[in-house]
Amino acid sequence: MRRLLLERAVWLVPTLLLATFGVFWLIHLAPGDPAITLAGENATARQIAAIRHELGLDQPFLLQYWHWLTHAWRGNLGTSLNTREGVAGAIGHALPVTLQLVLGGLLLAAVLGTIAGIVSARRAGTSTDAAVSTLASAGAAIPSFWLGLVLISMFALGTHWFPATGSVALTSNPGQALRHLVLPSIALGVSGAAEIARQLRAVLIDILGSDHIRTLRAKGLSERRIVWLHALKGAAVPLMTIVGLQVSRFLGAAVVVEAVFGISGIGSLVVGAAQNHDYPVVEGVVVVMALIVIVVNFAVDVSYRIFDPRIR
Amino acid sequence: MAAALEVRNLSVYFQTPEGEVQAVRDLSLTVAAGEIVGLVGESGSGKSVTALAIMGLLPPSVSRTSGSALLGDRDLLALAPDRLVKARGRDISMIFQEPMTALDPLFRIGDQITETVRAHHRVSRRAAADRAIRILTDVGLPDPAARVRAYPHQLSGGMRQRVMIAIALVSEPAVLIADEPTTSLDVTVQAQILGLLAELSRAHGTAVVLITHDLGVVAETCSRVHTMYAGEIVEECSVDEALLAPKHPYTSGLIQAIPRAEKRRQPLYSIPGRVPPLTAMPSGCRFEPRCEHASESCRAAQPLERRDGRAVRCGRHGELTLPGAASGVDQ
Repeated sequence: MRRLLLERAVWLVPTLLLATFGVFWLIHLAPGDPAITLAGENATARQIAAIRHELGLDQPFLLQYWHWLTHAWRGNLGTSLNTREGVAGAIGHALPVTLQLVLGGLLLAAVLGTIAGIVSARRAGTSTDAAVSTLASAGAAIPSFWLGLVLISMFALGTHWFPATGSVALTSNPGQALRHLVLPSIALGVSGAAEIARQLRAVLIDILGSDHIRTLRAKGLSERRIVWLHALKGAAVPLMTIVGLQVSRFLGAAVVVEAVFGISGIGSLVVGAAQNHDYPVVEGVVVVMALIVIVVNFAVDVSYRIFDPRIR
Repeated sequence: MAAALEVRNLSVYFQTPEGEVQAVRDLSLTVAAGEIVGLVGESGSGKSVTALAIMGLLPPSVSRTSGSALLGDRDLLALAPDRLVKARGRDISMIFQEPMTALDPLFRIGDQITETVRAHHRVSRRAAADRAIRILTDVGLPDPAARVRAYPHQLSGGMRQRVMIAIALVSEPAVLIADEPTTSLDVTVQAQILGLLAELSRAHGTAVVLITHDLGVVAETCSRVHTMYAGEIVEECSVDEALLAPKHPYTSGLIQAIPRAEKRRQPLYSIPGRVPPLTAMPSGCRFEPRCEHASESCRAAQPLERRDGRAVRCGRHGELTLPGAASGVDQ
């Protein structure tokens, strides 16, 4: 376990360097100049140049990255070029909103996907299996923004069961927060549920045909115990892998879902920043996202060791 | 002696893309309490299918059985699914060839035994755990109190098979079906496991059906033997009769195929050809295409003739004198 942790920590450095440098470079390549925007409509060339100088934008690209990197290394993510707000603070406000949404989507995807996967694996080859598989294909194919719009028009504007937009922190008002979370979580989670169902079905069909499951039947265990305890534990390692992959996918997809539901999370923060060449904010978000993905991967690796004694 | 398990006219059919094929035809077999009966034949002769059919472990979506398998007054083949689940592991158990893949790799062996106990008896966790340690002691697993916490991959092949036997016998079933229980084990371990099965069968009065392709295993362990070929019983008799004076050319061929020290300068014997596929069964004697004694009359279907406590499915058995185990020895 300690070795794994050390290994992951060592990989963290090149991963973060590569991600932050790549994003920095992309922002640099993109057309537009934040100084012009900041200077306002009637600014003179001198005023713009002064702003560029003040922000360090007149320095060579590599030097700019180096400055950012040395500050970030010391824990200083800098301030937003546009709002002058501290990047850490801005992320601190937006991140919980997004994590709440990602967790909601993940929970939905895991529960729905697991149930659908088990149902179709146990009835493999039947019409039930075909129906579930068709639904899963549809779920994987539907774009989340479209699903979000449909959900809003049906269950928010149509029936008023759920609010159409906005979010509430789970810590401030759990009931309201959950009501706000339902529709965006569905919009975000359905494709993940479809993916989990598809993969779990294949894994379970394989496991349910294996020798040790036959032994369990031969010794008189109930089918329920065989499927939900033994087969599902056998499927846990691939299942955790897929769930872990969904986390990083959802962090990306949350951008779109947040836009549809008017949620001001990381997505809206980073989109706005990218449009304005606000590289400190974008870089800060990249660092945080990369850290989250790395932590999730680590957790997945640890879960392998919990579920499969042979990996210990 | 009363029969613990009586299989009558068992037939097994499989649905294939080419239509329905018959894997086992009209098989009857009886085992008394405390008796070990052998079921021998090559791979593909239908031994394992027979065992799985009796246990109700064949997938119902692609298979169909007829006949009966009487366990006391209950017919396993006609039992309602929930009652069959309850009978399995409690009244009739099965152990398998490959103990590594037959045990669940993710659960401690102690838990794999206690869950069997608790599936059939309303006992506390504690009592079930004690029972697990006792049965592991019975099957000769060293240091059972500590080993209950081991996972299957931490045990040797022989120990795993002992655990399989413990799982199968923990509820003291009347019948145990052992499907090639020693095939994947070293010869020395094989002898230990066979000895253990014989001992437990004697001690608890368990009726054992021992499935093997190895007549040597049968000779060591069984009192009677059923020879199976291409889904049919071709000969049934005591082990001594089978070894010394086989009446079916196939049984004789299997005996000749056992490697023996006194024949060490001769090439190993093997029966020419192979078991016919289920889709292309000969209409007459199924062994006829491979039989060196085949004649015109063998093209007709051969009934299983019973006489003097033994049975043989060969129309020419009266005119043939077939070599058994003794004939290979220099006389």
